[in-house]
Amino acid sequence: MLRNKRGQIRVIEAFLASAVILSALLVAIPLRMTTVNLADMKSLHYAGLNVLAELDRDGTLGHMIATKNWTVLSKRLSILLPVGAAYNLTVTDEDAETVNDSSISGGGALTENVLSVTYLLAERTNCKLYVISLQLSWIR
Amino acid sequence: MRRPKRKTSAQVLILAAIAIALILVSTEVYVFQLSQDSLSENLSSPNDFATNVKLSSRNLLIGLVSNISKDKDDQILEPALERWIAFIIDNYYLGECTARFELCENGSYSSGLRMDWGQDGFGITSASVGFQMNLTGDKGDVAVYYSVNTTTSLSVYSSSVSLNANRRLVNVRSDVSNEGGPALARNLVVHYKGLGDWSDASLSEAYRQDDFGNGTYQASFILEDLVTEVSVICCDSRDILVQTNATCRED
Repeated sequence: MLRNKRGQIRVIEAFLASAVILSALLVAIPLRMTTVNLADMKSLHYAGLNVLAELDRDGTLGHMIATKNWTVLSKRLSILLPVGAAYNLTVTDEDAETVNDSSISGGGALTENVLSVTYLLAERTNCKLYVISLQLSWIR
Repeated sequence: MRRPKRKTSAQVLILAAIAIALILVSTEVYVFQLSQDSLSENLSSPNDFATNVKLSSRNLLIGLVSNISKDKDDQILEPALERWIAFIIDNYYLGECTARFELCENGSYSSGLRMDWGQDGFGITSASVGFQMNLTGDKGDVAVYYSVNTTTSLSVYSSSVSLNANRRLVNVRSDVSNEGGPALARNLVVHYKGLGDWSDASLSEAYRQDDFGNGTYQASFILEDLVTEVSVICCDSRDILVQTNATCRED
């Protein structure tokens, strides 16, 4: 009888030990799931930078800003940025005054892991200079 | 005295499990913390900044040449570039930035500009500026030297052929180029000079303009007068104006 009881305790011990390790894993795995991959953030950063450079290559970006065509600019960004990316763009002039009088955003709400791409723009029509801040994040 | 080994074995197992669990959790927390630190740092690099500045310098020069070609005010070039350099320096946040520019004075360029709207069938509107930029900071040091050249040129060849005793068919061929390569024109206006003043060719009989799609345009029209000279004004797709006059040859 004594030996049988000792066996039961061993089994309970093993269960307890397994439970402790499993609970530690259960805490750790969601922690990893919520962590945004740095490589993903870098790819989003370069995607944002490339989109701005591509729009600026033939002066289109400057023209849209000069004509305050925010709707078209927003549409272009939505098309060119990767699917699943949320963005918010702000245009400021040389005096650090915000130029866009309406919000230029899309793709959903920005999450906690937001990165910012800054782009210096020289517009062709009036030769004005602007700082473009493109905030980006992956939506869950 | 014998030690009760079996009674403490359970505690050792539990303690070992707790220790393993703690190691697992602390490792995950450490990895999580590291990744958060990496995300909070700026992903921009001096090379990205340099690429951005190069492209925008080109756009600025195109805009300036466009305005100069229309207003003929070549005094705006240097102040605008000084403003651009100050803007670059003010907006570099990864360290320290020093930048300067140099207007080209070689050959036919004067103060970075060449505007030769000649009488020989060749017209050119061009600007050439050299830039130097040094970026220093924690993310590395970058020294960039680059020159930006914006050139729109126009070559015109004109000839006329007699249709009958009173009427002549005039052909005006124009070749537009940007930085030496074929380019499209946004607008091309042809004038001719006969015995009197200059006249707009588009008002002439049977005026037509063909776009070959490769930077070559051909205008043809019929006149009763003798044409001695033609003038072509071209505005390219970048809004840069160029003009040239050419003698109309008899075929």
